[in-house]
Amino acid sequence: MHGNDLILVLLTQVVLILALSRVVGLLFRKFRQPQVVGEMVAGIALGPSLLGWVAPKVFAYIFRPDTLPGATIHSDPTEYLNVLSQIGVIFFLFLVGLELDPKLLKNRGHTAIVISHVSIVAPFLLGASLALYLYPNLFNAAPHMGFTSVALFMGASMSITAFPVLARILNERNLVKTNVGALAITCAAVDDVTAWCMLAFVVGIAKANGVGPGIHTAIYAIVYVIIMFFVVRPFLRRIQVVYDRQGKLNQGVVALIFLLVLGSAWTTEAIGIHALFGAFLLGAVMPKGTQLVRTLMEKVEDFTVIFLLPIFFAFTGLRTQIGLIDRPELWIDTLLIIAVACMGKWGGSTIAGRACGLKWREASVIGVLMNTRGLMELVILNIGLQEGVITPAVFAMMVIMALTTTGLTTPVLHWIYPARLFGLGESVAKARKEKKAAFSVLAPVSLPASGVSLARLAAMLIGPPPEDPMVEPGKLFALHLKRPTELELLTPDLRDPSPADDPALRPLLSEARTLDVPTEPISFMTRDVAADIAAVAAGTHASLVIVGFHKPVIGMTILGGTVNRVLRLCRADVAVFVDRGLAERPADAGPPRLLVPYMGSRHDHLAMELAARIGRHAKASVTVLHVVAPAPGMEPPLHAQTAVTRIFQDPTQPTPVELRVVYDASPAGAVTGAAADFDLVIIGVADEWGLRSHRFGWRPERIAQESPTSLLIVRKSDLARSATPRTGVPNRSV
Amino acid sequence: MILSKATSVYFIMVVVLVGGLWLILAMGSTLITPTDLAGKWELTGDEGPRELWVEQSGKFVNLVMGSWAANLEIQKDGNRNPTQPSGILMSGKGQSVTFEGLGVNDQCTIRFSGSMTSTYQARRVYRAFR
Repeated sequence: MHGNDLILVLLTQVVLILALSRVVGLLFRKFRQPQVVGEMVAGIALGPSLLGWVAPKVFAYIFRPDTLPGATIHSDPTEYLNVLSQIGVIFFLFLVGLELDPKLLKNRGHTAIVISHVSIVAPFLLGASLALYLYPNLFNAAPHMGFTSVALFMGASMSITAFPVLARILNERNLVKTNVGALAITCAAVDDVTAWCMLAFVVGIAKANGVGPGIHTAIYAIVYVIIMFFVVRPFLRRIQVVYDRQGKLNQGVVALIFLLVLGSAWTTEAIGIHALFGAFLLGAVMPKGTQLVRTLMEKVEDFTVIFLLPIFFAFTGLRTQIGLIDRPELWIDTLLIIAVACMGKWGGSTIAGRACGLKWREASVIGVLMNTRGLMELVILNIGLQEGVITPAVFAMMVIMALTTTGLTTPVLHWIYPARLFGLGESVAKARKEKKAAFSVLAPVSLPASGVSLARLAAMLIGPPPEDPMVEPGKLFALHLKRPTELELLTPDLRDPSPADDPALRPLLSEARTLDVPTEPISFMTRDVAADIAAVAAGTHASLVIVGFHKPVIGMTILGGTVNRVLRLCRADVAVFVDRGLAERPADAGPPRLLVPYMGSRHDHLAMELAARIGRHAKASVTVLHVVAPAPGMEPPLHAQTAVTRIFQDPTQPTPVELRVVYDASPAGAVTGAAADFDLVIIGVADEWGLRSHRFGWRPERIAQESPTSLLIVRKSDLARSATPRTGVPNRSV
Repeated sequence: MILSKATSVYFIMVVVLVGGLWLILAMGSTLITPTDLAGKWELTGDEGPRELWVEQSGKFVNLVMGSWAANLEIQKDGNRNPTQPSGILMSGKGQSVTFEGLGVNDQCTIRFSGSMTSTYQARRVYRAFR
């Protein structure tokens, strides 16, 4: 074996696996599927079922170079992937054990316990019953394929629920804090514990040859669990004390915990109940709700979930040979497995939920959610294949079942429990009931630090509370859309933290209080930022959505990506705020100076209207810069003066408005040249957004990049326009 | 004593679990699976030594020998079912294969008839399920 060649092969495999799993995972997210489903599919695609089938030579070159003629590698490199994937799953199960919070089980009543146990028992019995049919046809007279092992394994594999995937779906659909969501997550937590105990039992049965070894395994397992609870757990509490004293998790402690994880996994493997159970149990006995656990999860999570788990999926894919299902009767068996899996888990949970008093729809939601098997199913199937309890063909059938049941969850959930039934959260629902405010601003906050400048800008637009109590005051809706981290997905917080306590909104809320702006915080998990901003804008009747601009990692565009989608989806007018020091402007610097470039579009009119608001509320001076392309004998158009007069005719306008006419062939150059003398440039975008109007699409971008001062790029909504009467002021697309 | 709805469901569930599992295991104990042939076989015959890979899932068997492959289904399994003639007969798509005299030492005679016709002495050198 040439060591360097082997390393190159292994690195090639890992790079391919990670890249494809991220790409396919993100692609699946676009289709409203959990990313992990995409990662699972990517793993399968890299195996003999797709890559090996479509391009067998490429597959062999990447994954089995040892089988090629003249190979310099003589060992199977996928065995190294196997080792990495096993370590990955051990640490993943440790994470799953870590997230298992006994608080989840408290105060959930009998309903959760009954539903979760029925959701295990029903598929377990149906799975075991299915074994009666499948056993003589699909299983061999092999040492570990006794009927008892097969029946128990089929039952256990049908009973599994993927807690992490379920938590992700609940978070992404904002269902966590609903009764149904809380119930589902409790049931999944109970399922987790039961399923891994059951798996330990099944593996013990499969491995034990005869009653004697079986009893030995059971006794060792019980002793092991007792030691974990009464020796290891108190020891871990002491580590917690050390951590509290030092205030940080040093490498020595991390190494010790890793050793405990591996030691626990080794012990259970040696006992005969599989290494994964040991890793899971060590996580489960760690003291919960502590900073130690949170820090530890942060340290373990990324490497495990981003690096090691995709390798596990790929290794599973390498083992999955869908080509073995090569006869109609085998496909019928596969459909039967899927049907029984759904019937047991979905049907069982639904009926149990209904029997416990839930409505049919809610009970069915629980059933659909519990039917999510995801990654956990792959873990249990790999164990079954590795232990020789199932054949590769049955493995492939069960993998298809796992992918199908997991993939079905989100669309079926959308169908039976559409978002309109539970809304976007209590805050939005509450806001929907409110009357439309005089002028309300929705400010989505991405970075906490940007909250201050957004609050100041919103305060200038909204103005002070009206003295007349009959006049409804304006309002600022502070929105924080959280993209859940894997850690948050594994530890969904069932408590209902007030959006006011959201750390991302604190700077904005604090500044808004100082400025005396009526503010309502809204905060929830999202999977589609732009769509949710648009939905909240509609729900809150926001007059204007102000999106802060943050320099993207890749690319230079300001009005692309999420901002572009917000612009397209929002029914309200949208402004993109590029802050270049407006927030840091000292209070004694005098009233702000605003520049409004004008070329006649409806967006420019909106820019003037907003400038007028700021002028009134912040006593800002406003200069309208009318840029006209030079032409021989051309008179300045009158409509600029007409628009200025109409928009700024408000008698409360404290400062005069200056209209400057500039003849310049380069409108962007004229604006950037003039911008240096102002504190804020408010500029409209194109009449039609996107590629239809390159010039306007380009103008704000160039100005945004070259302007030395803060910018507010505004766009009058197309959707709003259809409902707004025409002003009579000529619109001109430039 | 009147049981609550949840307790009643729970009670029924436990009874069904215990009873159902007992029934399933009792019924399953009479079931017979096909002889396990999966693994790598070394064949010796007139054409010299050859290597046969058997991929098996119950009665469904895929045989691969060099570039030759066949998807077969076990029709008779005398090893597992004493009422049937001795030997294991599998067939499919113009090909039939018989494993004769298979014992605990994993040695037997394999007869191919149909699109490929040959007889080999065979010994299993690798078991897929150990």
